[in-house]
Amino acid sequence: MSSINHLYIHYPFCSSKCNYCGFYSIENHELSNKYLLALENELKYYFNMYKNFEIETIYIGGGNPSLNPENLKEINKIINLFFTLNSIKEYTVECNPLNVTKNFIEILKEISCNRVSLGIQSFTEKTLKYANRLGQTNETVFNALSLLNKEKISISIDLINGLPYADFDKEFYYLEKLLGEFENVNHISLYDLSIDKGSKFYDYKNLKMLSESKKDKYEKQFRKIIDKFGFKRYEVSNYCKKNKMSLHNLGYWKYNNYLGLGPSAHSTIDNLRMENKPELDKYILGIDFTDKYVLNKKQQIEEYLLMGLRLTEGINLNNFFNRFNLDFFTVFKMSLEKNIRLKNLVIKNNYLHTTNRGINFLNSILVDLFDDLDSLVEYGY
Amino acid sequence: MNNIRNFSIIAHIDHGKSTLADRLIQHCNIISDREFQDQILDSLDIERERGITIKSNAVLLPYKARDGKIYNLNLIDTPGHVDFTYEVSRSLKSCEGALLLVDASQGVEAQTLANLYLALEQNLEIIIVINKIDLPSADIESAKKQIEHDLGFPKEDVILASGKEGIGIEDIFEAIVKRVPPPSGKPENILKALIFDSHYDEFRGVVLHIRIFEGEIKAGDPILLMYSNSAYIVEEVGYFKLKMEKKNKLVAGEVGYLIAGIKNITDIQIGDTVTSSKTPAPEPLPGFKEVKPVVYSSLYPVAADDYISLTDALGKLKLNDASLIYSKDFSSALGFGFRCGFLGLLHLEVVQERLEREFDMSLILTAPSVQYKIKLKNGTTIMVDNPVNYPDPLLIESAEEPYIKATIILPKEYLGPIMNLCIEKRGVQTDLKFLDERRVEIIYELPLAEIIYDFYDKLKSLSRGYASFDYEIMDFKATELVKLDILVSGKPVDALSMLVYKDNARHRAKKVCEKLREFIPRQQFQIPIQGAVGGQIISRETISAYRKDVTAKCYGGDISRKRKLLEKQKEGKKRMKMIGNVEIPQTAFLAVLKSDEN
Repeated sequence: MSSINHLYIHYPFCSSKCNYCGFYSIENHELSNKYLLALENELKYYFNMYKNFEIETIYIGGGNPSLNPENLKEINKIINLFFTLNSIKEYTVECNPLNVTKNFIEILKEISCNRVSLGIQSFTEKTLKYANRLGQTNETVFNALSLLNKEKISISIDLINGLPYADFDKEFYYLEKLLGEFENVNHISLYDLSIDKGSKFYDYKNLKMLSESKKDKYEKQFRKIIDKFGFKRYEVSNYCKKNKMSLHNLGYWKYNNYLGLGPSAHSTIDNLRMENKPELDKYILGIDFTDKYVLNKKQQIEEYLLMGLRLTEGINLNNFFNRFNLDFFTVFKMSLEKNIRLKNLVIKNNYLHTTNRGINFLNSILVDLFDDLDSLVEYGY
Repeated sequence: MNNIRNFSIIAHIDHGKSTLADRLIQHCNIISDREFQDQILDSLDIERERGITIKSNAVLLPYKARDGKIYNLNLIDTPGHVDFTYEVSRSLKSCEGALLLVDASQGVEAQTLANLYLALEQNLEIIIVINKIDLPSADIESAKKQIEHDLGFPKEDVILASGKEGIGIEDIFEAIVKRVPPPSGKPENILKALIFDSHYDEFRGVVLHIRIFEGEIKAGDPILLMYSNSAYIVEEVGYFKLKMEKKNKLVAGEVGYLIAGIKNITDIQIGDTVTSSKTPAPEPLPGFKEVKPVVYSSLYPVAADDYISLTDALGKLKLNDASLIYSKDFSSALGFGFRCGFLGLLHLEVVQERLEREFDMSLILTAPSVQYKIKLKNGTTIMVDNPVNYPDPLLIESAEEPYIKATIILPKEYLGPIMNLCIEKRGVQTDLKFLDERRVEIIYELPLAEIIYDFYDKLKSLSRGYASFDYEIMDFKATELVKLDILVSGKPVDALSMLVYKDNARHRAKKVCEKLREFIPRQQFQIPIQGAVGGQIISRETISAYRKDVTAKCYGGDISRKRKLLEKQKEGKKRMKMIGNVEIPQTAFLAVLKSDEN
């Protein structure tokens, strides 16, 4: 059994849900104390079950974990009950710019958080309003960045491409400005807007979508700017300065073990998948709040591929062989030939990775690979 | 023999034939109410759903008449669609009488007339029944007037009935007993029996449905099927009483079944004559015709692996449907499949649906085509129904296409639009007459190719369903043909080619390209779709490439959801055909067959 190095904690409370957000969150905070008790119980349960924890990264996401500093301190206390944090390489807390005050920074330092993932999403007021992202202005964003930057906390920012009414002039003016002013912004996640089930946009009848060509334009201009500041793409939606990849997320993408706590969080421990239901009530009661099942080898291979190929470095074919005892070239002959011919994939130095073109069509590539895997199963593998 | 009556029910579609038949069966108590499944004679699912009888069926009804005697009434159900006119004529030939149903609110329609003519050709006693008199919209007086005027029958003899409410059932039975003559023919004569239908029983093999005209037949008799010239020994004979009921023998005048260890359905031809192989009849019964398909299409399995299953399924279907013909076919786009011939468009649809439902096949069909007569410059004439076999235009001297004679009856207010439609479809009017002050009958000669495209749908929509339509196949007439090719990403897709009338080529090409643009999803590359005639591009559409298909966010929680999503996409891909690098969904192939311009 390989060790568990990554811990995720889902804090489900948020002051108001943005319209694009499909993550599990609730606006009523009354149950936060009970949530914390349940969290402690859950961690205790896993701590007793597994002896192979070597936690290296912690990620507290949500919801909005910066909403209530006392709760954040409490979560940190719970983690400390079970783990000593000396060996932690990366400790990330998701923050809303509105909550990043001097006082809050003190708490981050107190809990030894060394990385903040700051949700910005857009610099256009009309866009933020349409998305129901309340209270955020470019002033609040820059204040937050300036406080974090001063304290040498690593900053990752989140942006969304495709939000309605985005004014590109504003978007790129402020992006360039903040990258110039705050050297500790060393990581950017840029997501294409996706209309997820559970989000309010999902139920909109006349959602004002940005055209594909506009999104294309955004992406090109975005690249041009971040290039100047030394950012490189290392995953489908993630860019960073040298050696500033998100270690926690790399754990997912390299299909390592991880433990996820809190409602809606998932865990993978070897061939086990635990999926917590997105239901706080059940979570608090501690009854029937998680689905647990064994992943078969085919599913594990599929997941290994779908996560690993998201990284621009791709997957290491030796690792694949060691992990699954299968020769990659034999299993995926057809799909490899096709996608190499289409210039979607390349093999170099024993790594299989997508090309600049292929990374955009990863789903098609994966479907091709899965197809080959199916034939393997059909022929009695 | 005096207590036998053989009769059919004939009607325009939807005039209540099956419901009335059920009521007649129920009346004779040969089935309990508990077992009663509506529309027993329509035993195929599709028949029940569409309300169209496709296969004929027979049932023996023991009826105790008012005169105290018990009569054996053989009800022979007939297919209710113009595609199956020949089968109808064979069923009618097995009878001495026919009930002609007229819907009380719809009145006389095109197929009412067509069916009447068929019945009169066989010298049947006609009993006219106005059905559905329970409907609020029933207009009995008007229906009677039409019967007198259009059909030339005295309105006094008409029976009023409702199959749904069970009204007039006994009157119908009494009329059959009194008016339909008993069959003639003598048991001591040489055997002559007509095959009016057949079906395949999983356990018994081929079951022939026969009417004995002369002589008798029993187990052990050596028999000869005269047209197919094949000999068998009879294993069993009996009556149809919803289930088959074994009898010692069948004699002249009777209707029943015959089992003779026939393995090869191709030996069976509807209309063939069964006689004794020891002392064969000098002449077969008259009226035999070889059924010829008029509409052709190729069928391919969506998944190439399913070719064997399709072969198997067609074989089984053929056992139930002798009029279906097929032969191996190969398309470079779609792989192995079958070229099939059908009696008409409905027949095609029925076969497609049965393959999909009963055999769970997922199919791609090519555009239905008629058979063209092509005269080459070297003096030879060839028949072409498959665009793949269309010769080099430089070698062609002339071409002919099959025409039909279409009879359309419609309320006069729709005359303008329907005449325009016929003209647009290259029709030539040969007759127009007012049946009464409200209804008109028009007769057009039309190319069959236009009918199998979208004529029927348009006729229905332009007349809001009020026009009724019947046709018979005529002769070939000169035409100007071109082969329309469809190119996807520069590659011609043979399965999408079609033979079209020259002046229609541009329009059809445009429609097909538009449909494909609509139904082929965006892919990694831009996809040009072109229509071409002889290398010249006559229409073009472009499907632009998508920007990306990758999921934006993917973290711990997303993995299983993402995997399931991809697995679903993978299943969807199995319903795609690869043409070069382009994935074409089955729906795109099927969509080009539909015209829906409205």
